[in-house]
Amino acid sequence: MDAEQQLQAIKQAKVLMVGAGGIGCELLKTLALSSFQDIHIIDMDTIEVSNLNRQFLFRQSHVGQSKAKVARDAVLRFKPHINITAHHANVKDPEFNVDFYKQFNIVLSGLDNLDARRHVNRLCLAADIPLVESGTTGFLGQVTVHMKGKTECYECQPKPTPKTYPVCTITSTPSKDQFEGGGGGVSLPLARNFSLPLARNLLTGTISLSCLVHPCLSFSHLCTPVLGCFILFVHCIVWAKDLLFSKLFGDKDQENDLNVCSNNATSSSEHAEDVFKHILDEDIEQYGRRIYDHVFGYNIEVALANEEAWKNRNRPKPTYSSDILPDKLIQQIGNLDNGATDDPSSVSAMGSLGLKNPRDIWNLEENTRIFLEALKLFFGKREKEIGNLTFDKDDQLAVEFVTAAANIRAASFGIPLHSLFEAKGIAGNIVHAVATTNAIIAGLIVIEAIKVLLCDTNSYRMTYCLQHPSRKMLLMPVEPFEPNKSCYVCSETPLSLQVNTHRSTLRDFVEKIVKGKLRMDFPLIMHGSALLYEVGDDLEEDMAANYAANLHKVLSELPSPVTSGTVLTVEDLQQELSCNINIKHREEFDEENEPDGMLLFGWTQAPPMNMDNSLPV
Amino acid sequence: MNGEELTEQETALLSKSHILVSGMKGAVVEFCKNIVLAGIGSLTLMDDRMVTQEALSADFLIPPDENTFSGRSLAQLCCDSLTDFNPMVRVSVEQGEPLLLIFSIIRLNIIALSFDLAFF
Repeated sequence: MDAEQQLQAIKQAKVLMVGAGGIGCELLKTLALSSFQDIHIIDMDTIEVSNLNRQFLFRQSHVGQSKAKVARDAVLRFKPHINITAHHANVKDPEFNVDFYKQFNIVLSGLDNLDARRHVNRLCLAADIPLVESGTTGFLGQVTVHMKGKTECYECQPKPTPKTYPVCTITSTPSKDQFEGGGGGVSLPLARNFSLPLARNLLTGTISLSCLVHPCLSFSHLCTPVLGCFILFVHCIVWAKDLLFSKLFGDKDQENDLNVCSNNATSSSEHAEDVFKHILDEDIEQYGRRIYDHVFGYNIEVALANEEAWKNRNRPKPTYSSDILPDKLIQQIGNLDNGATDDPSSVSAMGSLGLKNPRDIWNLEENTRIFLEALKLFFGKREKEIGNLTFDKDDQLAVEFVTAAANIRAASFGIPLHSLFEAKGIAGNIVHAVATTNAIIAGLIVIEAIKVLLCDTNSYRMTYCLQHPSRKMLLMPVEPFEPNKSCYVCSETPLSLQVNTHRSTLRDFVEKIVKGKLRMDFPLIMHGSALLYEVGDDLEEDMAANYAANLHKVLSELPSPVTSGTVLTVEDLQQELSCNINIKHREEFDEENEPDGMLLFGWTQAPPMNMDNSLPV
Repeated sequence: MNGEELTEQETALLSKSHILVSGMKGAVVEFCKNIVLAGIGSLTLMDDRMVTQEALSADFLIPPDENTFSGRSLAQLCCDSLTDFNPMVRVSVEQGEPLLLIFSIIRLNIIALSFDLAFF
């Protein structure tokens, strides 16, 4: 394709980006550098600390602000003369209707949950706008092109349900949503991207993982089985360094999630304040034990109180200083010697305690001693610095404290302890390799987008970014598949429902099938020309009452009775999706395997693709 | 490397590594961004060239404001931007030919690609 033609097509294009997270940041940067000039972004999230290790357009100072807006500002800084419109809103909001989508030449999705992706898919189909979908998880990534009528839509292939429950957060008070991931009720098919945690609320145990869902399904071997969320030693380090150390020695005014958690845990905020504040003349060891008991004992107890969180995971054990070191610590060796020197850099808990080798792994008792001793030394020898300290991996005492704290927490959770040497390495740098996968995927998205803008249909590809190169190739492009003729979303094929029409009510049908399986949030249900049910703000009173009454009735007793052979039409006005369902009456259902008492058929039954069949073109 | 994330040994290895980058061009700039986000030990940039139009259009680390970038080399400008990405990484600038400089050149496996890090 002529370069000049390409540039023209790009400059005239109006692009919608959905999602300004991991993929979104990279994508926005790439679009801007590739001369795109009119970009809209939709993202409802705000920036969290855990995003900073790969969403490079954001900084610490941006935490709490809208991702879409900050991303726009950051890109405008190096490309000031392009149009970027940021929408800090949920992509499922009604303002983003079909007409909204129709103004764009192409939609690029970097979303992180199935529910939103399906929504976008349906709207793109309704508006007949090409959609480029993408996803990454760890080192895996994929980009696909969806064009109505020419290729599969996003929902043509069924997304697999995970065998194990995708737990993504551990918190002292988990809510139902947190366990169900994106789109309550929908199981996420893939391993959560285990993003290295500069995560908030670590004290309560919440670890926010970025959920980058891989949209590809049939390549199930590319999808690692869903990992139960588990705490690593590295989480303990981050907790010790960014929460505990900051709280005790850093800027007191800075918002710290330890505060948040303590506030949640107790009813009065004074109590939270008291715990971490050193009262004048308070014996340092007593203070140290108080802190110890609070963070390793009390807070763990609070977390344990929530049964739900620990159903599938090992329960942590609360640890109290009196259990580990029952007697008041005698003056440590070396303290007397150190009295002479005031050099802060030579102050060391290890030195005081006679622990010489940084590669040794201390046991729980030694860690506890180091913890208390380090605290003592900070308050004894480096008092002036308290309130201003930031963690520095070259600060021996800080490293000792963080190592000890992390180890004690790790012991609580049954994680292997680490030496100071190892802890120092981890504390020194927070790692993430996934930034690269996102960058690759973003590049591929733009490549496909350009092909779409030039209507270069034959060159569209689904591209997989592999974990291990196959025959020395990291990227595997495959020709897109044709639409699945039995896809109820993009084809006209009716579905079938087996149901006991004398037992199941309209409400069962609406909740379990229409909303639950078909994911239609604002459904309209018709039997022929009779309206059985609809959702809306402007319903007349008697209509609304009518629908409410209908919900309670069993299907066969509805004003327009639903029996075997009936065809129901279900529509979602917002998604502009309509599908027909053939009803077949069935008496008995297996309670265990078919608990809903309803079975929906007509889901895509396309044969799963095998790796062998998908040779690169 | 088991696929989902780097192990702790790999993390430690990364944090002990020092990289010298010569020539701040398109792909190199991307590499620098990713390696800094990943948490390399230190990164040293070497590029005494001044800002050109071509550089501005490909390099998202350079602020396009003439007042900011005039008089400073590409390496200096990129260094400022890169430090923002990960405060734990030491990013510095080296001028001209490296003479008595000691770096560890290691074989890194990133995204299953192995390459020796030397000069680009």
